[in-house]
Amino acid sequence: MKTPQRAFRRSSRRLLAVAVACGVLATMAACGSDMAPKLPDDAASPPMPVGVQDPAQLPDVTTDDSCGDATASYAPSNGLNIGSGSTMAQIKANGVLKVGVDQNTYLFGYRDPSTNDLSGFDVAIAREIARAIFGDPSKIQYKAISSDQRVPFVQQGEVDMVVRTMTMNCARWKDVAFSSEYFRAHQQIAVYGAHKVVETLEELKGERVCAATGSTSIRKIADSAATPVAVPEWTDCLVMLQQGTVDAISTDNAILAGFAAQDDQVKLSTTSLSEEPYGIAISLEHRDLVEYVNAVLEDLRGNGTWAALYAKADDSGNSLKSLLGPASPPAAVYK
Amino acid sequence: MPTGTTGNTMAPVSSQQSGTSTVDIPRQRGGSPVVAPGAKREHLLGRGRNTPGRLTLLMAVLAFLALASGVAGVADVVGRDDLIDGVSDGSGRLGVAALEVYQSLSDADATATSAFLAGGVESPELRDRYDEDINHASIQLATAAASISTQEGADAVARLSADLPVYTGLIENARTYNQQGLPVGAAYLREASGLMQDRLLPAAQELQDNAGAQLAETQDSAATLPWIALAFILLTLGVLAFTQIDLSKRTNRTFNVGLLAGTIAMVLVLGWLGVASFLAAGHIDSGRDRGSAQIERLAEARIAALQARSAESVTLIARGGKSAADYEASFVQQMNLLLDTANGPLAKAKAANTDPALTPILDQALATAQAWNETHATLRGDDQRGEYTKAVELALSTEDGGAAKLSRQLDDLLAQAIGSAGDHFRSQTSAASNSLTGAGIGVGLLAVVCLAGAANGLQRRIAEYR
Repeated sequence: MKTPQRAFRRSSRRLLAVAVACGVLATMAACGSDMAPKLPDDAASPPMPVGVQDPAQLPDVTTDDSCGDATASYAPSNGLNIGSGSTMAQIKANGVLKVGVDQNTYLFGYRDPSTNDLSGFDVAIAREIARAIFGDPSKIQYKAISSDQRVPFVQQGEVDMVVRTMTMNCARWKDVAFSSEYFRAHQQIAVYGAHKVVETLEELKGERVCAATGSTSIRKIADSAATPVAVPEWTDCLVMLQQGTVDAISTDNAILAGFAAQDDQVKLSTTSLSEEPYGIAISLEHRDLVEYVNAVLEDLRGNGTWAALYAKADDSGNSLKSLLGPASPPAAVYK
Repeated sequence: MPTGTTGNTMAPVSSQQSGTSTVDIPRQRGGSPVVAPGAKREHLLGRGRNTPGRLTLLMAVLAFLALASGVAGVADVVGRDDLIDGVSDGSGRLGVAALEVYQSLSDADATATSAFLAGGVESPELRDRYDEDINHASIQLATAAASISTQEGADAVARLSADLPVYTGLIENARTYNQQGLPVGAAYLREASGLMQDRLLPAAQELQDNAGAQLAETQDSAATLPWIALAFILLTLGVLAFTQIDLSKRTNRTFNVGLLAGTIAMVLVLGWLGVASFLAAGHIDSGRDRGSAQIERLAEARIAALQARSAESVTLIARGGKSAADYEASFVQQMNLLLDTANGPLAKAKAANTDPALTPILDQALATAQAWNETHATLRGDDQRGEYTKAVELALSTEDGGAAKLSRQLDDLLAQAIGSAGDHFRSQTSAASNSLTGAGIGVGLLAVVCLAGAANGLQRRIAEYR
């Protein structure tokens, strides 16, 4: 008999205590928490790469053929001789060649995650230039830059040259000089998984297509019916394609082939949307360096080095040759 | 049902009891018709003599005041005790949980990025540490969810719960690709780190701010003076004094034993309640100033150190480009915060510190941050010169002067300091609770003694008129 009484008293005392606590202290958690946590409206949005532009902000210049043939560079007039007072002599005095490269584009310029070493075709070309100047291919200070940093870094003298999948065109010739063409890429389209392989951007009407900020590719996407999405690094496009936040990537086959090598689900088109001649960007003030680099490139084309680099496979057995098919070096065109 | 029957038998008993006491009062009032008509009006106007009616009124007022003092005093002690429990259990636990969510997430990010920097398959130590961080963050998040009482805080918990699995998913993707030697792994890591910086850590910050505010509010409430009880007690004492002075003037007796006993009891109530709440407030304040507030400052420093470590790694992992410059800027910002000797959290913690055992730890933390900053400058120089491998080696070095060793040392020192401030917080909160021991019962009993004394004392005077 007594126990329930006590229990009753205790519970009523507890009720009183709760009532007092609730009345006096509005802050206490014990008092009827009927809060329903809410997520902000953007919480359901999938993660995106840092610095994504959606929709893309576009570079101003589009087609500009005022310079005629954009692949025409300065003919080497002095071979591999380094004259005193030349830009090459200055570089030699500095002790290193400063080169702007990509560290994220598989097979062109990337850091091999297993060794942390820079590898790829662009990097190999830069090493050959260092070998010509210093007799030592390792005398390079690499600067990893993004697509839209290429022109300003050359203009501001942050680097001696940029070797980074850079398309030669008349608009860029106004800001920087280019070496002769060292690689010929084609803009193509990559889709993912079950998506129908498309050959033109028009087939991607209203769909989201990725390319790097400040690249020539993003401009071509914007000129089509597709929606451009811009990212700082090319691999960010692959991430977005895998995550389904873009429907396609359109850029150079050299870059797309690297994506396909990393993921079987990446399906490439076969039609070339445009020719993308790659040149090494050098300051307009250093014409002597442009001519010198062209002399080096002549050697690489002639002595089989170019073909060897094109066929050079990485640890996984991938090479540009295995992914893009056999090719010969593009012929040099001079002004 | 036995319970029901018990309840029913209980009710009549208590109503009978209260019935008896209500009958008592009319009997006393029943004495007033003996007095000349008009006397009631007279003593209502305050011109009455020592009529039983006047004394009865005084007795009723004193009974009410003594009861009210007792009830207010006991309610204050009970409420304060609950608040102190709230400081140690509810808000205190929430505050700790919120801080640990933030710290674990920052450490997970710093660890994941370091593991990537090492290249290839990550070391088991780093993998374990990352797993522990994620587990700990999840547990603390659940703790916070159980104790949070603000809408903003609950929203922050929801956001963290929604985004944490997305973060870990991205890290697993990054890890898989990295193990296969594919560069897209680094892109996943950048995205994960971006998610951490842009969504998870701001939500953790908001949770922490909310928890801190909730704790401070509870601490404030627990450290206030018991105004209502004090007002009643002082009023009771005033009426008691008035009654005694009045009685001694009107009768030839100097002392009324009952009223004197009541007065002493009420003075004891005042003393006990005052001293207990004063002591409790002192402990609560000390627990805040040298405990929870100190923990907040030290946690801010620790988080800055972890963020700096993460930024240092991502700067190297971002592999150049604009993003690398952004991450480096983030390192500089966090390091400046740590080294700021005027307004930085470490400087503030040192200024507020009164614990001699903590001083050398704080000094050492500052010196370690400085040494790390120098190492960082060296490795940035290496990276700028294109000596990437050398920069990575220095960043991962656990030798003396290596960035990994220094950042770990700094983290350990700050964790130690936080632990010591946490001990102080807990001991002071428990001391605050102890200072209230017995106060509830004591104050209640003394108020009853006061009531009984006053009633007894006045009853005797009233009886003289019968």
